[in-house]
Amino acid sequence: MEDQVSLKFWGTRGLISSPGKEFTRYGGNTQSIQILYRDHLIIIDTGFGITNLGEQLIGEILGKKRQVTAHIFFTHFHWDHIQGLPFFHPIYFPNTTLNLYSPCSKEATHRNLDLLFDGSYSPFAGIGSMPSTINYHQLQQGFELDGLRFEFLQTDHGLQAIRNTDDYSFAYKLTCTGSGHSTCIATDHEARPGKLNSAFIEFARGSHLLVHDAQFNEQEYEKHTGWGHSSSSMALDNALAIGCDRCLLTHHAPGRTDEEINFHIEELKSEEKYHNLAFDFAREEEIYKFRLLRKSA
Amino acid sequence: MDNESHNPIKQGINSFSGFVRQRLRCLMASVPDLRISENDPSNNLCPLLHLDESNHVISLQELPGAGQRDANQIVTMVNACPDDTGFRVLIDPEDPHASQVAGNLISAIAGGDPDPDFSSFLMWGSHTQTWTKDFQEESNRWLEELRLRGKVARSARECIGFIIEYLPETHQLQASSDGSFLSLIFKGLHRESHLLPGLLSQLDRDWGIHSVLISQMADGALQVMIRIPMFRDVSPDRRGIQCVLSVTATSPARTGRFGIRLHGVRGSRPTHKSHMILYGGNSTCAQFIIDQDFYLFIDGGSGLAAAGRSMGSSPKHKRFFFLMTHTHWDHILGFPFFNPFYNADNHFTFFASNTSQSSFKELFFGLRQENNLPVPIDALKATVAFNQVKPNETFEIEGKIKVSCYQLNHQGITLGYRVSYDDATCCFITDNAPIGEGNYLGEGMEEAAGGDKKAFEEKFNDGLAEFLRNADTVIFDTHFTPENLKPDWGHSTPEQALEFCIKAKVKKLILFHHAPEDTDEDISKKVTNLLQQAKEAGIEVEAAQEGKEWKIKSA
Repeated sequence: MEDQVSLKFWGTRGLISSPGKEFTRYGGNTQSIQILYRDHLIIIDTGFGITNLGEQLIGEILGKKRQVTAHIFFTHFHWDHIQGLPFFHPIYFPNTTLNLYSPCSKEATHRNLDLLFDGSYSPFAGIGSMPSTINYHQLQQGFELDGLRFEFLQTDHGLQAIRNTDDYSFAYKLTCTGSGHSTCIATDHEARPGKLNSAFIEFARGSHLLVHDAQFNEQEYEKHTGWGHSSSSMALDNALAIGCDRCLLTHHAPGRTDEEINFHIEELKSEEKYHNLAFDFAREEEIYKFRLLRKSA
Repeated sequence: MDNESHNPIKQGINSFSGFVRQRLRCLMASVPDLRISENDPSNNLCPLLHLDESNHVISLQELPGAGQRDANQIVTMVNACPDDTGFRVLIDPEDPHASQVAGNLISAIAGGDPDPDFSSFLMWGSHTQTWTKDFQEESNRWLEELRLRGKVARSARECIGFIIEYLPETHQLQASSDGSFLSLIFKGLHRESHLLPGLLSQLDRDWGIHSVLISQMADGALQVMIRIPMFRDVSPDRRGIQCVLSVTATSPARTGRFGIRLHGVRGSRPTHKSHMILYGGNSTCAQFIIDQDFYLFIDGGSGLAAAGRSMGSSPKHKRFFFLMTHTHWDHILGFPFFNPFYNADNHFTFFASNTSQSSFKELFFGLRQENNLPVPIDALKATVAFNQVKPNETFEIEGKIKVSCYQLNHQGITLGYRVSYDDATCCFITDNAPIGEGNYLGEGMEEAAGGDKKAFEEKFNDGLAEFLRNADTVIFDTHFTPENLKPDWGHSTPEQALEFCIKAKVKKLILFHHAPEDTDEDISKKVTNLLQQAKEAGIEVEAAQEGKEWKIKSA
């Protein structure tokens, strides 16, 4: 039997959480994605969305005395991608192991996350004071976790502030080596013409499921060119170039209501060039398979 | 008794606050082709108003001129909100002037204020149908009508049945004429009722709530309007359907000269889940409502970002004052996303404590130094000033507002604030844990206690009660319940908050810093559990609700 691999969004918002009734369908928590593969706990980014996953795990930890081993991969270290970690319940338990991966140096990963646990900003005394075991890894290209392969590539995300490779932002490509099913996740990427985007298209080409940054609408993008985020049509154009089966747009702007997104979807669907493209805006707590399998007759 | 006193509209309008009448006056001036005609009070069913210099209604006006539609055809209804906090104007959009009138109305009410006091701003199709009693018959008729329009109501009948079962009270159902929404209006609910959160979550689960509008009536009861979408697709084609634009404005009279609006009520972190709709999920941020030319906030949690989204980067006033309780993430994470920081015209002044480790200024800019901020680092354009305040210090803001501080039992130097304006006083006590053996969280507390712990604890508790003495409103950290209290986490329970309030003869207690895991029902229960004891002590108790405004001093 082939491995079925899917992903689940725990957080879809960009920049800052926007709780509220008008954000219920597409979600109000900052970035976090769980990869559902065999019985591993694999997470991409730890925005506030991860706290809801933590609440779910706590029942298992307390009830079944389950030991939690999580593999957490960071795309980069902006707040909206890390800020939930101090509130991820399993981190308070000594029999939890967190393996943290980033293409950046171990030191950079530690330094960036440690700030969240700083005594001035939190009731903690650094990430080292957490009872769980935390291991840092510098991710290597082609790393495999029980048959799930990880590749990464730098994205175009606010280059003006970047000083060295530790400040890069990355896209991940995950491939299930058994079934060949794959996804490419680019939560923060400005798909403007240029080397970085050409390289990204090559990198992502052939991925079955594409998760792409679409923080802006067209009008907003014009005002925020160079801020490191795409408009939804830029994202969908990338999806067409990549040739994915399905594209999920994420990193919703903080004030964007469900109603606005619904309306926007209709607008996009009315454009002829997207008629044959399967796409949606990512929804929190929704599970999406890497590959939609067609039942044979 | 003259004819006019029998006119319910005029009576209603005369009971409006001065503010509302002033805004209506602007509205009148903005309606095209409106001229003052000879008064004929007997002929006024739904007219516009004429106000004298002191905003007193002296007559009601009609649109003049043959061949023109009457004012009462454009403006089909003017009525006061049940609690006299605003007014509602309904406009017939079929009228050629409708969009202009609507635009003028909106800007007249906003009065150029980019942060207008709208309690709601709704546009929906109407042709309002109102029921009070005979449901079965009326709902059948209503369903039939929807069918005639080619729409299929999504189990509207069951929905109505559910309402009947749940609410024997006075209530109304209103269907929008294009069938897109069903509005349920419940009157006479009390906020401490378990019914409300239960009802909301059940309705949401079964039907999916679009929006909830809650207003408080004079007797303290709530009017709740719930809008349920009946169809996924709302037809933009509304020909032949009388539609209505409804604008409900809220006057500052609601809070008098001194009020507080809570933009964020959660502790620890912002939280977003569907069963947390009533009280809100943003983290700590409060704004004082004052009739001054500056803004006064407490803390900058995620609620501040939400406030900034509606304010824009160029709000009415240019000066912002912030009282900072402390610098834990949930109290500061909204700062980088507060739009007014990105306008060079704006000026910010912070009042905050410095710990022995670092100053507030360092911590504030530290947020920007690390490469962790998802907005450009050099974009902060406003000028920013920092004033260090110490526990027990007293100071004034612009000579208008008196502020004093008290060090709370929480990590670092966390300050509680007592803020007085006019003749009203509000205390903001968060975050704070019960003090006791081995639970000295604040910087310097252990040292100050020395050998005599008991004396120190007594001094702390008496000092806090004294700090709250006779306050009109106290907002208190009640993160925990007695069952799940973890004192070393730095938070208290509702029971502990009430104990201080009783001792200090406080008039109103607002439970605050809701735990991120608490559902609407959990929070409602905290209030219910406290009611009996609070009533005996003559203290009003409520739970903090996002976006809601409170008068500091009750009438």
